[in-house]
Amino acid sequence: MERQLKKTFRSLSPKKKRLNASRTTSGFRGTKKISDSVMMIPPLPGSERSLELEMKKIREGYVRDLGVSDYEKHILKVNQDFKSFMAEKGVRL
Amino acid sequence: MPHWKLKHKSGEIYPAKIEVLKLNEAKALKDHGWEQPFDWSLYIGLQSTTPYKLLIVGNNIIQGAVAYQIKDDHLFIDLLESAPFNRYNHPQREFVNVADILLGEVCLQSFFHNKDGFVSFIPKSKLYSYYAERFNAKLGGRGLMYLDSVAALRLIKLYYE
Repeated sequence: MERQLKKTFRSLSPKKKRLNASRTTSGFRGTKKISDSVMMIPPLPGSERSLELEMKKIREGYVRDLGVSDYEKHILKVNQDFKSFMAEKGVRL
Repeated sequence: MPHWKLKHKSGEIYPAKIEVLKLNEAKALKDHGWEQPFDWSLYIGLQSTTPYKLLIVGNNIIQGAVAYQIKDDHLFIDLLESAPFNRYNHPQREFVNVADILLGEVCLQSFFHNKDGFVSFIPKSKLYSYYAERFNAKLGGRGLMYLDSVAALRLIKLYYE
């Protein structure tokens, strides 16, 4: 039975899987096509942790590429740019 | 007070703001032609995800909505939808940068929450190249796309005034 389920699930295309998943998240089980007004969709149920880890890996990749010290300098500079931009608009952080 | 610059198809710029989406508004969206499979009211009251709406200053019509979660080192967008009359293929499309502003707001909040502007999301399949070209979003694993600090700041500077 389990094997059968796995097989069925595997047979769906990634696009279909994601579509089904987003519907499940929002409690919908129909087959209606998603319109063009929706531009980002919810993740697969149960995939949140792996997506978080994926982002962690991505950020670690930035540190690896630039080196710890250069990466910190880069982030500091962008944050300072953001703060000065907001200060110009009259927002104090 | 700074605001977002919402661009009308005629080229006019309207000041816009982001506010928390209320339950009655979320429930009413489907009656106004918003996507049926997604129920925005399910996000109301959730601790992890908060839904927000985009409004023109001085007008109560919802132009778009976004729901996001604050993670350890970034913000994750759970759902982003523009109002039906702002769809790119709508014959009487009103505003042309609704998604830009909603995404920009999440970037802004990412800086405010000390996440360095990092934002991740799962686009609709056919929009991967759109996000890469328009926002310089990068592709991660598991269908994920993300904006890094530089791309996030660029987007904020473009539309926040």
